[in-house]
Amino acid sequence: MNLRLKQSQRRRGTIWGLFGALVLVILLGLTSGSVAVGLSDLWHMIQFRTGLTDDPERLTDSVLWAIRLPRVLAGVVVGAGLGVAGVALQGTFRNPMADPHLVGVAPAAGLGAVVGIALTPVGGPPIVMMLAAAVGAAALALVMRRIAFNTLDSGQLILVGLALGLAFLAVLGAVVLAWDSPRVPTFTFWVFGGLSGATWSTLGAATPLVVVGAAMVVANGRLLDLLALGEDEARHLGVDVRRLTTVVLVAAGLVVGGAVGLAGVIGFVGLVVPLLLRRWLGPAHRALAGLAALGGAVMLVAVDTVARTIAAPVEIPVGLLTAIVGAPVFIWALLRRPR
Amino acid sequence: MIRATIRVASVAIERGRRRLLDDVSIEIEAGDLVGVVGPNGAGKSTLLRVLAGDLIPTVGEVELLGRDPAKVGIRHLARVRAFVGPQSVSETSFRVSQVVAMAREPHRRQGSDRSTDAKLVETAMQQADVDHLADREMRTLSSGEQQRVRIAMAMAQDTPVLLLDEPTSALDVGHQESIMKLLGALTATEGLVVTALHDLNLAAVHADKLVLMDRGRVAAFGCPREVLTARRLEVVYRQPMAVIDHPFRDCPLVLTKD
Repeated sequence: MNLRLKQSQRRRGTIWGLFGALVLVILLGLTSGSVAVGLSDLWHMIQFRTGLTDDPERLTDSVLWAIRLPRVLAGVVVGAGLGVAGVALQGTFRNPMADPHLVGVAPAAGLGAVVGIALTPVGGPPIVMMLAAAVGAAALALVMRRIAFNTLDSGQLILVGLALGLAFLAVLGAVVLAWDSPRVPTFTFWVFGGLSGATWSTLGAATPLVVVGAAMVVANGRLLDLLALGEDEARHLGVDVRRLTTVVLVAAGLVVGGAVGLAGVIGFVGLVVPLLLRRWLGPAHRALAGLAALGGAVMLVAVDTVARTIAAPVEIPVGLLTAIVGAPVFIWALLRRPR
Repeated sequence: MIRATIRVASVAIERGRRRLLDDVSIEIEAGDLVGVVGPNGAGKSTLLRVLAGDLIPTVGEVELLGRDPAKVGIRHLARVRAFVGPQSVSETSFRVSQVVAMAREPHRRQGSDRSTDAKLVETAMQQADVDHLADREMRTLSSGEQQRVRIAMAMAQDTPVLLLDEPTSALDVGHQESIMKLLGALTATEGLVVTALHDLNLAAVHADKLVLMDRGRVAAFGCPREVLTARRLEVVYRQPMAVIDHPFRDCPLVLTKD
């Protein structure tokens, strides 16, 4: 009982801590960059946009509204999505190393997105591309379940996922290079991700996918806890394992589809954030999914702010920085795995 | 509570050309602790999986409380029978109290309130002697301790039928006795327990009835004195045996011979 109290206190503390950190990195993200923006400019933009002031529009208003705000919010949505998707995949595959990138789901989403772009008429809505990305992601996740369940150990799962992911990225690269159309983002965008292309329109298309998918994961968190005991054990406790994993993998597909459609393939966020939170708060999936959303958002907004300011005016692809930060944590966790 | 019954009629399970179960018929009533014994590969686990609704017979019929377990909803089934699988190692970092509480999942939104759940979980942990491990992570427990946690889960699941596949395989002698007594106490309150057991003497002491399996068939079904005869055991186990009266208990005692 004492322990449970301590854990719930710790969980509450973590929620507030991450929430505070999120507010902080959002403010930092909005105010850093080549155009100097202060908090008063931010306040002015809010007043201007909500019609509370009759002041004329400032330069900072348009920079904030058209460029930085959608970008920072895209960081929140994508980071949160990757965090939740990591928890979802780790829960269904019962493998703490399963993340959207490593099991090939994100590269499949990228390929789906390119197909979606090809299907969309010029100037058409970005939602088609996002949905195609989600279909690609969910389809690959379900295929991975088919080959992984009962036949692969946790290391093999990652190797198969990596191989599939690399193959998808290769096909994706070939298509993007051969097509060579301004409608398709560059190969770098797909492989290392980037938030610079985020607009209100793409943000608006991606957000519902991420929110709905994340809600589905959270709603099934309790059943994922039972699955952690084993497939047979879960079934004997009344869990329809096939149905549960289908729902959660489709949910992960929606989330990853939205995230990849918006920002390309960004690795390690879905791996590192749940990993650290699990160590700190225990494995219960519902809390973990919610907190991984917060943590992922904090991580990605922070890393993206660094990515676009550290070598300004050159922008470093955000996925490179998440890899530089994430890979050592991943290796540390691998080496410290119990047994 | 409905009076628990199990009826198995002429059941066969085929896997390719092999018959895992062949013409198995047994009827079990509430209040009985039934031990399933027999050599390796005789079909003990298969029989339990059929009763649990995991395997659908190729031929024959199974009834659990009057209904075919394969046709009952999986969640409903989890309120009717609990299953303790054969020894396995859990790597999960969930804590023991969390794991045992998960056994209440089938009863969620079924008229079971939180305080009832908490009480059942606490009692189950005491009965299986894992209450002192409540705050430990599952993966840090020994195999015997993990086995007792799974038994605690089955107790917390609180079902009329309890199926166990060698629940005492990793337990020390003291815990073997206490767990078997716990199962006996369940049947005293109209529970129905079917458990596979390797140890013939543990089965002889505690079971009301025994099913002796041999190559997929029921070699004998009845009370321990009827089932455990030296001649029959020699045929089934291909090992010279002697059966004598237990010096301290009212049951047979099985001994191996050279």
